[in-house]
Amino acid sequence: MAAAETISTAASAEVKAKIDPFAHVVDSHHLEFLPTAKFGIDGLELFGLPLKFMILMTVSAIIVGVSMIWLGAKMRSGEPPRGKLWNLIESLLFFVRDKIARPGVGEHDANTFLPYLTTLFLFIFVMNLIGLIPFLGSPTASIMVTGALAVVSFFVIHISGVKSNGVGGYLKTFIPHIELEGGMVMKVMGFVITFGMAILEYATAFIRAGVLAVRLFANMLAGHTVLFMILFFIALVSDPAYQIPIAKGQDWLYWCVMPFSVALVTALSLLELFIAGLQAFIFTFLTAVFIGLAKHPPH
Amino acid sequence: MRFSLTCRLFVLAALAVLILSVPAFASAPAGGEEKGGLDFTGIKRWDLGIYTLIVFALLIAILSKFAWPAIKEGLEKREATIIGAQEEARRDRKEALEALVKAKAELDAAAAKAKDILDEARRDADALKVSEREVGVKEAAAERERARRETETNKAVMMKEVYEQAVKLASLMSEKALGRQISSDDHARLLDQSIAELKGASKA
Repeated sequence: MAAAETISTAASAEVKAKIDPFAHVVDSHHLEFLPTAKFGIDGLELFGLPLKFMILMTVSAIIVGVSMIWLGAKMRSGEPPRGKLWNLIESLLFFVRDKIARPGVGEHDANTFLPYLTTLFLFIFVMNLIGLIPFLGSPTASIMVTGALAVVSFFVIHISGVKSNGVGGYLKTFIPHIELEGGMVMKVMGFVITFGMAILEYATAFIRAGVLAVRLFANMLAGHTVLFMILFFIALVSDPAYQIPIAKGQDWLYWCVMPFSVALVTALSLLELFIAGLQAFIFTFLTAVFIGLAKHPPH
Repeated sequence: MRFSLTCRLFVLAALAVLILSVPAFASAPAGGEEKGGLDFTGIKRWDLGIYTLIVFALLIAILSKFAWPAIKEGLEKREATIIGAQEEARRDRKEALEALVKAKAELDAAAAKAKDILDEARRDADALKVSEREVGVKEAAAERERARRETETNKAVMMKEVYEQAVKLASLMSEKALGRQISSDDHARLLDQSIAELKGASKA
C-alpha cells in the first residue's frame, strides 16, 4: 500500500514537472526541438549553470554588433541608403533618434545619448525577437538580464544628472519645494511633508530602474508562457501521460482543441511580435525620459 | 561649505530614519537561500546578470570603436550634402527668379517693340492705302481722259469717213443729176461745200 502510494506520488510529481509552464520559457541546459521525438541539444552548461540564455544573448549581441558595424561601413560614404537591409537598419537608427532620443532627452543632448539608446533598443529588441523563434527562448524573460540592463540605465541616468547639475545640485533636485504659510506648527508640518516626499523621490530613483526591469521581464515571460500553455492544451488532451480525466478515451477532443490552439497561438505570436518591439521601445524611451529629467530637472 | 538650516535638519532627519530602521534590517531573514516560488524568474541567476553586463558593455565598447564613428561621419557627410544641395537649390532658385524677371522684362520690351512695329505697319498700311487710292483715282481719271480722247478721235475719224462717203455719194448723185462727169476741181469744190454744210448742220 505504502509502495503504491510512493509510486503514485512519484508519477504525480513527474506529471506536475511536465506541466510546468515555465520550464520551456526560462533558462535551461538544453534546447528541445522535438520533445516527443527526443530531438534536441543537451549539455548547454558551464560549471553546472545553464547556458541557453547566455548563448542566445551572445547571438543577439553579435547580430546587433555586426548589423551596426555593417551600417557604419555603408553610411561612412555619406551616400543615401540603398537596398532593403540598409534602409531597414537605418530606419531603426533614425527611429531611436527621432522617436526616443530627441523627445526623451531633448534636442540638444539627443546625439550624446544616441549610441547608448540605440544599442540598448536593438539589443533588447533582438533578444525579444529571438524568443519568437520556435524552440528558442527570450533572454529578456529573465529578471537578471533585464535587471542588469536596468542597472546600466540607472547609472547612465544618474551620472548624466550629476554631470549636469553637480552632486549637491542633483541631490537637491529630488527635494520638493513646499511652502506652508503660518506659524511654527505649519513650518514643522511643511518640513515633515518635504522630508517624506524627498524620501519617496529618492526611493523613486531606484524604483524606476526596478520597474524598467520588471516590466520588460514580466511581459516577455508572460507572453511566452501564454503561447506555451495554449499549445500545451493539445498535449494535455492527446498525451495519455497527463491523464486528465476529461480527455480519457475522448480522441475527438484532440481535433477540437488542436486547430483552436494553433490558430490562437498564431494570432498571439503576431501580438508578441508587436510586443517585442513595444517593450524594447518602452524600456529605451523611459530610459531616455529619465535621462532628460535627470539632466533638466523640473523646477 | 555652508549649509542652510533646512538642509542640516534634512540630513539629521535622514540619519534618524536610517538609525531607527537598523533593527528592522537586522531582524530580517537572510533571503535568497530558500527555494521559493519565484525561482522561475531567474532571480538567483547572478551569473546571468553579470554576463549580461559584460556582453552589453562589450557591445557598447565595440560599437563605440567600430560603428558609431563611421555612422557619425556618414551622417555629417550626408548633412553637409543635404545642406549643400539646399544651398545650391536656393541659389538656383534665386538665379531662376532673376532670369525670370529678366526674361519678363525682355518679353515686355519685345511686346512693346512688336506693338510699335504693328502700329507703324498699320500707319504705313493706312498711308499706303490712301496713296494707292489717290493713285488709283488719278489713274482712273487718266484712263477715263484717255478713253474720252480716243472716243473723240474715233468719232472725228468716223465723222470724216461719214463726210467722205456722203461727199462721194453726193458727187455720184450730182453726176447723175447733171448728166456729165464733174472734174476733179469741181468735185473738190463740191466736197468742200458739202462738208462745210454738213458741219454747219451738225453744229446746228
